[in-house]
Amino acid sequence: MSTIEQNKAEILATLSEMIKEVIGEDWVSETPITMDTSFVSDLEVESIELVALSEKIQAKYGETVDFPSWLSGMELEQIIALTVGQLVDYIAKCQSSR
Amino acid sequence: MSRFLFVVPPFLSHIQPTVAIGAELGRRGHEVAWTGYAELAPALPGWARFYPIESSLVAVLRERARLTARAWLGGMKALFEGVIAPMAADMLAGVERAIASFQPDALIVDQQTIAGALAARRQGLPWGTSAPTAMLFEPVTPEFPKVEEWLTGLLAQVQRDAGLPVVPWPDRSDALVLLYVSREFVGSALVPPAHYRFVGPLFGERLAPPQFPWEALASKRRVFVSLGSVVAGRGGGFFAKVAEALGDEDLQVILQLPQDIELAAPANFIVRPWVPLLDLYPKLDAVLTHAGSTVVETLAFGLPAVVAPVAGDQFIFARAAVNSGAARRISFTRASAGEIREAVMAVLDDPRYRIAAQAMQRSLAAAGGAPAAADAVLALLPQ
Repeated sequence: MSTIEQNKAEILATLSEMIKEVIGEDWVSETPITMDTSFVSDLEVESIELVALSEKIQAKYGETVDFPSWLSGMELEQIIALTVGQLVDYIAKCQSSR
Repeated sequence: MSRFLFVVPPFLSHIQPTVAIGAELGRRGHEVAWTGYAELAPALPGWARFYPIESSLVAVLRERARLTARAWLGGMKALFEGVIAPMAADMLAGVERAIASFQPDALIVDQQTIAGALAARRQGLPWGTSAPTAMLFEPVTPEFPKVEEWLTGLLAQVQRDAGLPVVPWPDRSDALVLLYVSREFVGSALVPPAHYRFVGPLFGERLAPPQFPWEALASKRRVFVSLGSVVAGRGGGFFAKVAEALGDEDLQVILQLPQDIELAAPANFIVRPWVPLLDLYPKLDAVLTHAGSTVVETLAFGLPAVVAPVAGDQFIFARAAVNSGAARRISFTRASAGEIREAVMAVLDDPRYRIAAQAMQRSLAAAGGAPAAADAVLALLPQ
């Protein structure tokens, strides 16, 4: 596994924990969160939960990851299609261009 | 004495509260009438005056309503683009004909039939909003500006097509918005404007309650399970898991099962396509529901709930119920039989859920019901 892939796997693990905290352990259920998991259709999150997740990301990664402005630039269709993998890639990209 | 015209969509849960308000206004000597698609006539009581709107759009709307059975933005886009905006244009002429015939002093317009609001504005009549969905329970989050842009853009076009100046939210009155919950149920996330009136659930007359085998109800703890009607076609897997989860428990389960879904029901299940719910609530110990207005009724009877929201504003109802402490949430798409059992047994066994439900019951009863709603509607008239 390359360093980049390893880093992404770590980010995915961190995000999975954050998502579970935001939407509740019971809710996430026994189904694992993967890169292909969609926020809206699979996890059924809504605006309030995405905002809460955004706060957790800010607390963990600080200024390097500007999730709020990334989200605010998204069209309706892009939010509907948003996957956990896209967020992992975004965080990885922010870190590498630091 | 005054005249009030209700403008409603062809959805039962939207019509029911207006029937309760109309009956109360009638008792006080006012005249009331309804307008909407001709197909909704069976949902109105025999005494109701009705101005039907004929349209070929109704059949299409029923198909499109299925597409709204998705979470958050997926469902919202389908609802506004496929149902609400087309209905606004399609109903406008019919609503104006009803106004010309009935000569109302004010309109009470469902939040999904914007044609009523457009007609009232075109004719300079006072109007209030009937808001049976949970859409206004939470503030619009500023974090997704393009979502709001998309929605207000769609609603702006609807108003321009009607020859009206554009306001951001033509679906809600700035004089009166009736919400069929309590302030406490909505919680602290929303700071409601002064013209939002929380009147609690309105239990108007239900038409022709279906037969129910009351003698078959076992004297065990009783759980009612229903996912409403919009889930039809998607619920099979969930219902099978409910059967697995609760089939071996010492419970009486009453399952409302859509007729197009087949299920091998366990012996402790009573399965019906439709139940007389208002008569059933007092005999229950808990309810497993898709949320929606059913969860408000459940709390109004002081019962704890397990919520499995499926679509649209059900997620908002579910969140409010969970925040009230009276409900547990599970995933409609992903909950296992074990998780369903655990959640149902928790709300039955842990008294905190029932205590929270009873607190909500008191707040919903104190909200004032149909008399409070009628007072608010009468205040729309120029003094």
